[in-house]
Amino acid sequence: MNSRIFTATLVSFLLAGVVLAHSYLSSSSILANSILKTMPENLILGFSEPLEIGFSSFKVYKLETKTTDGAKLKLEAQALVTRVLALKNDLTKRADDGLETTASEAALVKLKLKLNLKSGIYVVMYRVLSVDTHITQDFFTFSLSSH
Amino acid sequence: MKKYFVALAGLLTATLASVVLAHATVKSDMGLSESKAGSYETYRLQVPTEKPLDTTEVKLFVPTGLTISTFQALVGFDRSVEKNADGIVTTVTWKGKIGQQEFQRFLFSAKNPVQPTTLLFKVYQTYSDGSVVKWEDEDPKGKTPASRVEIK
Repeated sequence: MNSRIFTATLVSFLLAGVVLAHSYLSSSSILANSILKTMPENLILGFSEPLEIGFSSFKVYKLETKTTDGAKLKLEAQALVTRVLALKNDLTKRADDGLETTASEAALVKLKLKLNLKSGIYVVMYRVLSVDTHITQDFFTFSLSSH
Repeated sequence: MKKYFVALAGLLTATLASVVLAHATVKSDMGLSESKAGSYETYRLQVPTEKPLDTTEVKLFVPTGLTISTFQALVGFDRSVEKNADGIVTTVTWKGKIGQQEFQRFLFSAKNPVQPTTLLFKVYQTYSDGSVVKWEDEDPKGKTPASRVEIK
């Protein structure tokens, strides 16, 4: 019984640690769920706390989908994130062209975007380590409309 | 026995020094003037009012290489920051009142530089008559020295 209470306490402490002191996305030059007519040259992501850039990843992928249903789209985007976020050497498959940010710690992160991207749904995904060593992972989507 | 006296004398001097030198100082939350390279540390900036006036503003110039992450919430003070192109805090300004015969502590957490170095914390302290005491002398024996933390 005691050990159960201990475990429960430990788990709640761990969860509390996960919830507190995280770095969250606080701004983005391309808004979540927005529809763009032209693709900008870069994407600037702002985080609530500075990140260890060398231990963080940021990617933009095009989502190959035919669905127009919002909930379904989110699931498909989530599946894509699970599949590709940890991939290495995948720059050729990505819609972004890597980081413009060169600092080892930053709270504002600039990502180059490739030229001549096709219309469709894009997924911005990140897994970041804050300087106080907490990990946050999330994604959002936006779309580029055809002219 | 002799060792004990030397230690005691040293302790007394250290205690007296911290009482006599009422400078704007930055120390670790443990009260140390040193910290470990690459580690995450909580610092406290202590600012005393030393004139027959109120202190109205305290501005900290964050040393290069120190990455401030979070601040302690402080009732009665408005905090504003300046950031560089990477979104890293470069200056912090606290506006509020530190009355006569009072001091205030401002706490913040930061990641230390990865390489050993000396951090110089320059602080501008503004009084209610508009006068500014610039704690920025790089000579520790200067009249208004910048506070130092050794990163080891």
